[in-house]
Amino acid sequence: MFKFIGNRIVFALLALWLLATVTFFLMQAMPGDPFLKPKALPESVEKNIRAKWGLDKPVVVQYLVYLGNAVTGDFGYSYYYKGSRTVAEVIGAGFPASADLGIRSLTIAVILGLLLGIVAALNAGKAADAFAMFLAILGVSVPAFVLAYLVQYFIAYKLTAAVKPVLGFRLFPITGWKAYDFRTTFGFKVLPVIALSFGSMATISRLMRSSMLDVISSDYIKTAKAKGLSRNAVIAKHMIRNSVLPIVTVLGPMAAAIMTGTFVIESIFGVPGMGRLYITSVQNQDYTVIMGTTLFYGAFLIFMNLLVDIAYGLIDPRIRLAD
Amino acid sequence: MSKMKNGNGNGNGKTAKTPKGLSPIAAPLDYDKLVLDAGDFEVVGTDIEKSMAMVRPSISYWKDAWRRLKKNRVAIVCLAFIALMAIGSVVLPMVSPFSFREQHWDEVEVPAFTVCEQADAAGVGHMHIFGTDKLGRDQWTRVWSGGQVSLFIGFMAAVTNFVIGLPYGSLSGFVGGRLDNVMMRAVEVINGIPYLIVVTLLMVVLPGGIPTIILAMAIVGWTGLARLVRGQVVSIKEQEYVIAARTMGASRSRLIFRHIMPNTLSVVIVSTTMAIPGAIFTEAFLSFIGIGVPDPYASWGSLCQNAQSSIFINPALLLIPAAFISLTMLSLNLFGDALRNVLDPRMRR
Repeated sequence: MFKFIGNRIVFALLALWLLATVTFFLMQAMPGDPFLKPKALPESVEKNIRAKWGLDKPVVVQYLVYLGNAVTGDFGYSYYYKGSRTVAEVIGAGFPASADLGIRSLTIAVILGLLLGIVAALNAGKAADAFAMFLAILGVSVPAFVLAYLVQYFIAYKLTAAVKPVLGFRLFPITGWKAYDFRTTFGFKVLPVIALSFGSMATISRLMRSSMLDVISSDYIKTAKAKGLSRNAVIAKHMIRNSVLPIVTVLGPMAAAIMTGTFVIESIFGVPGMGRLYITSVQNQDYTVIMGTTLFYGAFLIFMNLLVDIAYGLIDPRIRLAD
Repeated sequence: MSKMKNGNGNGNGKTAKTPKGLSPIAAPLDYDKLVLDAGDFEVVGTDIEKSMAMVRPSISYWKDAWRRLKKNRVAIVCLAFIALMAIGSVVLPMVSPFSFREQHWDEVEVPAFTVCEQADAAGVGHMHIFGTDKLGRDQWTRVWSGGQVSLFIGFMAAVTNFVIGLPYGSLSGFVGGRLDNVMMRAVEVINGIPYLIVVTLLMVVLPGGIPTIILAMAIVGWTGLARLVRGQVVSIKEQEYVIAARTMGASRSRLIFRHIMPNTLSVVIVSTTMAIPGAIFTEAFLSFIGIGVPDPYASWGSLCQNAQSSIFINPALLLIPAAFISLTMLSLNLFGDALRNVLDPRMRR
């Protein structure tokens, strides 16, 4: 077991190092130079500035310094935001909103996805199954930003305008994040969460359905039924427990999907989170922030995958043996 | 259950063969008294010609797969839809009276079915079927030429995955041992890096354009297929028929091309089909955040992005390309599902 976990950790660190290296050299290869300004600096001044920021050192030394700084979470200053905000500050400001949105969406996607998958499998071939699977294939096929615009247009715009005279307040605001009133705070979060969780929910429900169908036809279910267990006990203790295992493996990629989903969802709904920050830094070519957020996201996802791998190894001993 | 009940029965006179000397209707056979000699049997013999003859035409795996695919109505509808989209994307921009980059300044964001009245435009007198966008460009032409770009990128990304992933996975799986170990560890490390982040990063650094998008996706996209192929090859390599072929002295290339490759094909085809919607999605995402297809070229993603500023005024501008992406992805996903069912031998009954 320790060997298995050690193995996983080594690979996670390797992936992280590779990502950091790729990021560094890509940024090095980028055309342009901070000193390419219309007004040329005196040579001595430029030399001093280069020396101050360590830009006079060979690339290898710069690389090592960068790695050292990255380990301590120091990614330098943003090119774009005035007032010398550090990248760490910028990320710190965006993270809470994204985490809030992400955790809500992941929770809802998992719970609803499992439920939908279970209902579909138990009613395989019937109307409930067809409906659930139609919803699922729709969720896999409609890009998150399309869904976001659909709910924004039809629910936040049309429906909210229609019910406003009745309720007296705007049910679902079109964009924005925080407000002082509880009702509106809640309203701000509903639509982004719907748009963000739908795709993941669909993936989970499809997976759960097929995994459940595999389990239903296995012999131990027959045994459980034959020995007179109630239907509910068979479903809860034998079917769901055994079919939920594969779901654990997709939680890593799922976290990735939800996280990259936040890029567009946050931009569309005006949520001041990391995703929107990433997009604006890409659009503004704010390289230090791009590097910082890329590494932050990468580290986060690699860590998630590591957790999922270890969790799966703990739950299912066959994985450990195979490795 | 029912078999056991009949088993201890004493033939009720309707047994196929009635021994000599006993009347066919003779009630219960007394097996103790039954005496059989060689004369009761005759040699039928074997007609080699007859027993070797094909009763029905032989059906190859692919013929069978196609036959079963044809039975799946949803799959056929999806296939037809995809074909229609592909043909439409190639043909319609060519026959359209407008160009995808031509601007009509007097007709900005006009509703659907407005007749073009701009005198200096080549297509004067023709209809803007989907209206025009905020720069006065004909939306019908742009949606279809956007389809060209989106479908091309999706298809090419899938092909590049295939071109890199298939040889990589086969080599790793077939050779095995240390090479396999090293190659798969490399895949694992690459796999550990989030895909969209790397693609975005590459798009930021590399000069924009369609080839760059395909390249960026190809650099990190092939690992999934490589893993899949390797797994298949490793399991097929140990199958009895491959061992038999090897024992009979089949050469390495014969083993690979004749026995192993064809059996991985079904998995590869399904995975490649499924890669197309994924790539279209990635392209839409990149264009949506503004680092995908550069203006004035259109793709379904960039059309949505361009339309977002006027969503509350002119929702059709966004809804039409959105519907095109969604329906195409839906068809590709459904078709991929059907293909998996058809090509997977375990699904046969």
